Amino acid sequence: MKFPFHFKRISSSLIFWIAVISIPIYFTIIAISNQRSIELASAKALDLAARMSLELVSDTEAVLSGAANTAATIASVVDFEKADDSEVRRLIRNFLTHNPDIYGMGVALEPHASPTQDPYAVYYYRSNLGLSFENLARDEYGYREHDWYLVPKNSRAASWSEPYFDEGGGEAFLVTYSVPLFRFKADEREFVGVVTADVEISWLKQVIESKPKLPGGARFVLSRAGLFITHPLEEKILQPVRLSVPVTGHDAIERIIRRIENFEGGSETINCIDKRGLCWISHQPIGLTGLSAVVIIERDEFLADVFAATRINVGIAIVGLAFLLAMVFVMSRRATEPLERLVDATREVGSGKIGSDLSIRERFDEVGQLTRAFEKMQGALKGYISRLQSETAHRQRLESEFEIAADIQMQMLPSGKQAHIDKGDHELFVSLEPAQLVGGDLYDFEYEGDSVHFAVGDVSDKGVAASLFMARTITVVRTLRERLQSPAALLAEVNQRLTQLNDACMFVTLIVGTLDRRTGSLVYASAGHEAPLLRRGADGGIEWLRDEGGPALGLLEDATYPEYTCALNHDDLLVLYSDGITEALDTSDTAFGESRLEAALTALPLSERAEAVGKALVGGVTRFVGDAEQSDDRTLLIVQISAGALTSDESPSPLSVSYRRDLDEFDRLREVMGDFVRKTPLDTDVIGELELVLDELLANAVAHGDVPGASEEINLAMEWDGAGVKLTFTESGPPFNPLEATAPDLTLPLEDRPIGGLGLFLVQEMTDEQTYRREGDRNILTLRKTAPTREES
Amino acid sequence: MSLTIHTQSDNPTTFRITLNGRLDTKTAPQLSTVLKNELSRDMSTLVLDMTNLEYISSAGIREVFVANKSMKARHGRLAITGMQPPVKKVFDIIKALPDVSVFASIAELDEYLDAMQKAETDN
Repeated sequence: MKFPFHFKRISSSLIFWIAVISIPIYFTIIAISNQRSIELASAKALDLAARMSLELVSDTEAVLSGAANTAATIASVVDFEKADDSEVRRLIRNFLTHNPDIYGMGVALEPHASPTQDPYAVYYYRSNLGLSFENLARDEYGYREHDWYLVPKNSRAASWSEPYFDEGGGEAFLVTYSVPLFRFKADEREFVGVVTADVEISWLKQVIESKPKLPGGARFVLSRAGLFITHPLEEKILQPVRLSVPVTGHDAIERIIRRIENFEGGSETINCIDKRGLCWISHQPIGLTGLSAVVIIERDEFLADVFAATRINVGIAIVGLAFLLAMVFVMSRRATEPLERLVDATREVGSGKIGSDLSIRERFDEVGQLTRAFEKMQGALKGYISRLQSETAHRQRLESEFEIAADIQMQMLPSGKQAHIDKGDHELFVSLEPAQLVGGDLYDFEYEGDSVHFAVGDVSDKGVAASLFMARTITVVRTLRERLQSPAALLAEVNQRLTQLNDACMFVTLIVGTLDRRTGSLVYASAGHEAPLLRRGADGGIEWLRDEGGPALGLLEDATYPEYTCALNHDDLLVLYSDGITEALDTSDTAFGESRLEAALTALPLSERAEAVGKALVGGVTRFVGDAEQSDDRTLLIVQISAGALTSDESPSPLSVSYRRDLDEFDRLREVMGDFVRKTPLDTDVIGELELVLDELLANAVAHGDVPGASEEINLAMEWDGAGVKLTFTESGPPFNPLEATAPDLTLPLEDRPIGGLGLFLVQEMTDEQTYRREGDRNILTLRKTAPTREES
Repeated sequence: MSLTIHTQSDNPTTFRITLNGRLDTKTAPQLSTVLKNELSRDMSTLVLDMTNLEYISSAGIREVFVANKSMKARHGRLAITGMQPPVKKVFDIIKALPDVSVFASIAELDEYLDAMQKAETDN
């Protein structure tokens, strides 16, 4: 997956990553610590609420239980049936004086139990004037109807009253502890009256207000019936708690109220009553008074400090983070700003402007090192570039010279890189693909009368040296061909010339041939060149002309080259090529080879003519090579005889004639010979020259042949081999090799030359090949004549 | 075809032998006979007119050698005119021409001979 952010600057990337990594860490820490603080504070708060409620209980219970004990003491020690009124009053006053927390005390009796048998209710309470007395036995007060009297009477047990305003009595908000008095009759207790002790509710308020303030906390006292005994708001006092609570949704309050009714304590977390948020509430019954001390702590207010601390932490974190990122930004910018300059400088170097002044040398860190290295590189680059420029210019000059050289070299070839010539009687196609700009392959063709001379060669090595040697070779071949028609003689002479002044030992393989366009007679000789390939037009048969040739040209002085003849017929197609074709390598270094060449030629239909065949073969090689680099020049030269081009398809049949050793036989001989030669495509000049040969041989035989054992008869066999006429003279007699006859000294003035000896010399001069052999008792002389002897200039 | 030889004395110092046909081994003796008879004459220049000679063999060349040798011996000269290509080729091969005055045509030869005669008369 690809990272979706890309920063153009390292500083941006640093800031991004530091922010991405540190912000969650910071805020996780803050959140955890906040949570932990809240948990701790919450636990503490609930505990605190409980402790505070217990403290409130203990603070109030002493007073209340004091009041209760006082009332109980009075009830237990006084026999109200016997004690008189003054005694009771003194006792009450006495107790009140010693118990300042008690607001008021009284004794009320059933009328039948009082000593006077009248309603009796005395009551003392504290006022601004000290202790005041109130006789509650007044009819309008009706003490026996008040709760503080009725409740213990009915329940027959001491109890605290609900808070009430004692109108006509204490004239204050009070709670009263009433202890019932009993008279024992047999086993039965008879209610006779109550002793009461009052505690003023405002006193409870003072107790609560004397407590230290608690943030978000409130203390108050509830009665058993669920009335507010104390409340910060005056008007709520003696109001039922339920009136302050929404009708629904506060089961918790109901639960708490029920517990309070049952004198039970408890702590719990509830939803706050008059605001949103949670509240911790704890309540404890204050003894058996039915009152309960209640402490409520509002969580949010209690935790305000924690929240404030968290807010401060967050603030510090944000500020710190901002500062950190700013520092990162500044420092990374400081670190990378030179890099940006380096980037600019590098762009300038890229666009060719070298030598920007970076002027940040004062730094010694990695950036400084980079800068210095960059400046050093600039200097070095400057040097390299100027050198490269001059070398490039030099190379361009060389290349243009090479191109000119290549043009010149191509112009040395008769038809450039590819040509197709159709002369009617034959077609010639040639293709030369140099591997480099200049190459070592060469081809040549030249028309002369009825003949076409052609050559294909390949200089050892490649490149400039090869191209120069190629130029030399083609020039020498052209020059010498003007006088040397025979391919063998031409090769021998070219070799002679090339061997001279060839210290580099360059050499060239060359095949030269001459085709007689009228007869289809091909004469060729090879100097170490690839064997030509011949496709017969009649049946498509393939022949390799693998006759043994001579050595490559330029190596051995005085090398001789055998000459071969081959008769070409209609549609025959001759393929000459350089080893660049057969040794063309494909990408796996496999050579094209002769077999592929032959297969490619075989695969082509006979109807394909020279040009199409040539292009197909060249294309085949190119396809074979594929992407591999061309390793050598490729030259292909194709000659094809056109249909119906040859003057005669019939060669003269071999002929044999016997004659006597007599000069009179000469005229008959020369007529037979003349008729034979006229059937061949040879020039008629050949006839005159062969007449001279017959004449001289006959004269020689007449002059010297009359020796013992020699026969009178001589046999002459004539044969046409496609390119020349072969004359074989056979006679029996003692061994005699006319070719070994002493040659005349041609340097002497005519008058000093011996008469004679010229005849056999002329015979050799007038023929192209001469061989002598001895078979049994027969001397066999074979002469071959291919063309008129050239006159030497 | 054989050889016919025609002789003619152009002037007291110049003798002309005209050869027609073929000078081969068989006909060379005819020229040999003519030369034997005529070389005894007093002359300074012997002209061999080969305009109509179509063939020569080594035997014929030998007769030309004989004539040349004989003329050199008496401080005369041998001149050949009208040599045809097949004949000239044979002379070329044996390198015989440098020693013989060769003229392409009779007219050329006559011009030369006139000049020679005039020079001798002036002396």
